[in-house]
Order: sequence, then C-alpha cells, then structure tokens
Amino acid sequence: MRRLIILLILVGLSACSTASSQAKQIAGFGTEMAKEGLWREAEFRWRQALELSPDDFRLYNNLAIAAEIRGDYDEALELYEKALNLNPRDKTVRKNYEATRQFVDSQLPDSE
Amino acid sequence: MKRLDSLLIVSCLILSSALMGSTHRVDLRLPAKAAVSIEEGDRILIAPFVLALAQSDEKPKTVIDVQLELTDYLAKLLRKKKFDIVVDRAIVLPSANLDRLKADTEFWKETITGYNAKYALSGTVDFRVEDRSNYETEEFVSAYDKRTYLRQILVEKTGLALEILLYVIDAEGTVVKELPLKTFMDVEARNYDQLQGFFETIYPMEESILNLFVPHKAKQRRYLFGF
Repeated sequence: MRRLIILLILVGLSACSTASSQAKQIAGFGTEMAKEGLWREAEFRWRQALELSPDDFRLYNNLAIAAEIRGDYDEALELYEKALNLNPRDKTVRKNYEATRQFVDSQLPDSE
Repeated sequence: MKRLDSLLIVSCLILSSALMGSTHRVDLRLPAKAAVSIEEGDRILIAPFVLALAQSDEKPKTVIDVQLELTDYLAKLLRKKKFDIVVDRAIVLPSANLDRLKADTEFWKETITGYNAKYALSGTVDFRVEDRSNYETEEFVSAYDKRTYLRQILVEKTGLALEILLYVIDAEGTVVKELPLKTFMDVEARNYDQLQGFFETIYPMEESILNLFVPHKAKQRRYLFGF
C-alpha cells in the first residue's frame, strides 16, 4: 500500500511537471521544425505552447536558441536565465547558457 | 523493504525524466560581429611582416617572395570587402623581434596616422617547403611463389607549412587582436609548385582573417529539448 502511494505521488508529480498534452504536442512540432531549420515556425510554436504551459523551462531553453538564431543575444540570455530559475539543476540549459555567455563575451571588442 | 522503496523511487525518477523528453544537438551558424570595430570604406594599412626565416641562420628553401605574396593576398582579400587598402612593403619595421615590434606603440601610432588608416596589419610569416620523400615498407605477394614479402618503396612527398601570426594594430598603436594561423599539408609529389602550395595553405585561413573585419556566421552547438 505504501509503495503504491509513493508510486502514485511520483507519477502524479511527473505528470504535473510536464506540459499539458496539447502544449507538448505543439512544442514537439516546434522542435521538429527547428531540426528542419525552420526556426521562425519553431519559435511561433514554442510561444504558443508557452501560453498553455508557462512554467515549462524547456520551452524557455528552446526559445533562447531561437533568439540566438536571430542574433538577439540579450533576449537569449534572459530566456536561459528564466529556464534556469524554473529548473536550476538542469544541465542542458546550463550548458547552453554558458556557451552563449562565452560566445557573447568573445564578441566584445578587445579595444573597449 | 526500504531497499524496495528506493528502487521504486529511482524507477519513478527515470520514468519522469523519460516523460520530460529527449534533447537534440543542433549545430548552428550564429550571427557574429567582426572582431574589430570597422566599416566599409575604412582604411587598413598592410605593413610588412617579419619573415621567420630571416631571423634564423637556416637557408631559405622557398623560391617565392612570401612577403609580396602574403601582403598582396591580404590586400585582395580585404578589398573584396570594400575596405580601402594601402600596402606599403617599404616600411622599415623597428624590430624583427615580435615582442618589441608589438610594444612599439609610438612607431605604429605614427605610421598608421601617417597613412590616415584605422588599422594596420603586420606580424610574422613562416612558409616552409620540405622534401618529405622517404622509403616506406609495403607488403606484396610474389607471383612466383605466392608468398607475402615486404619491400621498400620510395614515396615522393612535399610538406608545406604556413604559419602566420597576424597583428591588428589600431590608430593608437596598440595591438588589438592577435591571430595565430597554421596550416600544414602533404602533397604526393616532389618539387611541388611553391606558389600553388602557398595559396593552398593560405586558403583555409581566409575565413579566420575575414572574421576579424566583417560580420560573419560563427559555428556554435546548442541542445534543444524534444517533448
């Protein structure tokens, strides 16, 4: 009985932590578009999904990459920071954030 | 019992992470600024480079004029990007020692201002052509007794090495960017044409040189979440 309760709680938590099934479907489509190089379409889908699932850190991560593609690095860093606030332990987001930070720093002219 | 509970928790965590979706590696070409602040029409002075061989006692094996070819090449490359390029190979560098050359801000400031340029390019260049022909051992099967033997064959090769240390110096005489570049290649021929070899070894450096002065796309890797 105790085991069953633990199982139910953890599965319940897992279900809560993922986006709603509709958001998941839209976001998944967005990722597929991004993999095809259609970043504007991907960004549009992830924003749609974000309205349905505003606390999904993964969406912020993906939107940050889309912002990088546009060359908007300030926005990208903000989005990565939001993703990290929602899930500070996620290694994927941290890796992306650090790579972007390093890239942005390398863009600063030496003379200034 | 406790052990079983722990196993259950671990299984659930694995399940939940599976529900969170996978990640996908994406290789991007992100918009990047030029390494130095410059605009089309700005003047760049191409000053002489220190020839590495000139510093050593080694007899140069190259028959091409590396100074001429390099400065001409840089001028053509940067003119394509609409910069106003001035080449002056007659400038007498204050030192062949790179540290001293770099530190002589007064010399550079005066030279660059004299040409009304925004930046100057200088540094060092070393182009080496080496005969790398040698004997190598290979197996062959004898037609006579069908046994495998080893034999020595002469492999004719030329080794080409090009090393450039490029300094970008601003109008204040300060080296604002140092770009070390190095290419090495072996070609399957002896006495390979040196001029052709020079351009074949400098070509892979083209993008890095241009990236100093023009906005470009930089290779970056990120990880996307699947859902």
